[in-house]
Amino acid sequence: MAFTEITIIAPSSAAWNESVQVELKVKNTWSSGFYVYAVGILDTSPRFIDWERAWIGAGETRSFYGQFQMPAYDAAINAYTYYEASDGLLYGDAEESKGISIETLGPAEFRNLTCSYSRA
Amino acid sequence: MVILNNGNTLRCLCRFEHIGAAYVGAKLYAAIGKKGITFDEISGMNGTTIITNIQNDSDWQPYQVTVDIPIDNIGGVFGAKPGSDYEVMVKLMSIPGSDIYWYGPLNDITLEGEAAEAEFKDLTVSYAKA
Repeated sequence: MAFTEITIIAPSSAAWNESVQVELKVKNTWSSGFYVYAVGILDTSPRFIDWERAWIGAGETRSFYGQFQMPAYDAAINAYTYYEASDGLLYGDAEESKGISIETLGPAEFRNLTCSYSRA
Repeated sequence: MVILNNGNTLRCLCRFEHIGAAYVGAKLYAAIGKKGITFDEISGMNGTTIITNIQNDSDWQPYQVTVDIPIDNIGGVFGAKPGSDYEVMVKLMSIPGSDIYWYGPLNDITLEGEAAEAEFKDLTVSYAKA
């Protein structure tokens, strides 16, 4: 049984090299507060949310933010939470995953050239 | 109307839109000249900017690029003739497909400067036995 729930807020697709913003909403579903560590990983690396620690009260939700550059292939956003127990150790808790597909862009096109000018 | 003298720069603030894959190598070329059936450029009165920042764009995105035209050859024997009947032409080039042109208002550019330093013409000769 997990003590947290993760919701991944991210686009379902992105263009190559586009900056992708990710929000992990972590809800504490336990009856008391505790420290939560959040990790966000694109596929198996890199970590774009790197063991960020926050106190989350009972029933509360805390967001963790990160970003990565979209690779040239479909990928998965993986999110994990760990909780800090009273013995001081970390225990794995919840995990969630969301796919993000690469957008195939057409060739470059240009339009609407205009100009204003002045003496400099 | 923009009045230009030697030593000035005409700063052209150009805007266009892009969609699709990132692109490297596009150029903006701006020149002063006279528009007729074709655009008759003044030799040496132009400028070029290479555009390096065109990113992947999944929607039409605006871009803004500056092109400077240095003004340094009005008058003189080989320079542009002073006058108020010049225009600006801008060309987006080295892109997929045809170049895209923009023309400024007619007679919107005035070139001021001294007339040619010295001119000669109509050489004739008469001769006789002496």
